[in-house]
Amino acid sequence: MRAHIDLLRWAEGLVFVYPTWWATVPAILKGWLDRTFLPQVAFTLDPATQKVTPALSNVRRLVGITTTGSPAWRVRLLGDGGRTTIGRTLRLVCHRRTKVSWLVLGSVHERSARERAHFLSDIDRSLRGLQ
Amino acid sequence: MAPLLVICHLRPDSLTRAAAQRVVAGLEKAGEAVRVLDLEAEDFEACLSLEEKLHYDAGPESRPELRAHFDALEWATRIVFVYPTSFSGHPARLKGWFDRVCIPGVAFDAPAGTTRAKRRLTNIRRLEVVTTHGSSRWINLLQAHSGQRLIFRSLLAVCHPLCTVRRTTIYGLDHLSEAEVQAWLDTVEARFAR
Repeated sequence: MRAHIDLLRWAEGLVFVYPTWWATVPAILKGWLDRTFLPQVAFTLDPATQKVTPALSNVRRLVGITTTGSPAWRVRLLGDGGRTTIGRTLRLVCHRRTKVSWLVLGSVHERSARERAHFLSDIDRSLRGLQ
Repeated sequence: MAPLLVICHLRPDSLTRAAAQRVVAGLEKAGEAVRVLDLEAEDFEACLSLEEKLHYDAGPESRPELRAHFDALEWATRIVFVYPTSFSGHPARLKGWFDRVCIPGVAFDAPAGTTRAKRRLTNIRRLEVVTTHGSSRWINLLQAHSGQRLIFRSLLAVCHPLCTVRRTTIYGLDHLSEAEVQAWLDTVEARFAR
């Protein structure tokens, strides 16, 4: 996991691009979180008090880019596990002022080519001004 | 009720495993014949493959290797998930079980031309979660309980309309004494023996 951990420590922003399955991230992305966000990498644990201290204060920006089969509002209603796992849980170990934003294309299977292209240009525009 | 236990934890000496044994003991006391899916023991593949994704709508017949899982889901009237909460959610392997086993033709039907999936697990009338949290209840609330939400919202939406739910959880595990943990295990067994 060396390369992954080095990149995490180097990055100032993390952009997650994934499909939403069962209203949350695919298993392989969940596994990546489980296996890279280790003690000493993502946080430190005081052995005496068991207090958790964030260790990724280099990360100040979190972005999610996702497509969902259901309408986007329905995924929100179901808890939107992707947004909460990353935008809340992961955010806890990042810089205190970390900004979180999500770009979502809902009902993806019914979208026309034009709508898809529009979503892609949205991503382009949003990330160009990323800071 | 026909209870199906889905368990996922790497370590054989873990609290999750101990809790699963207590669930089984409790259910047996109550006279239930429990079926168990142990995802670690069978080394369940967590990642939906490209092949599976390309033929996502092909139905359970196209996945003979998952036959036992589909049968268990069809048989059960109650599902008990026992897992450790990691990163506020399920272990990846359990998430993979949803991705690969709860597919169209098994968990829901996805008629062409609609976005609304039709429920298919109408035999399931009870969903239960038994899980351990390392951090406190407050931290977990802040993190929004994505693991429990997957079961109590997304999975619940495809079960019987009158399906009931129950959670048996322990928080702040890192701060608890051995006696407190043992007391929780007794609670688990007592809850399932009723």
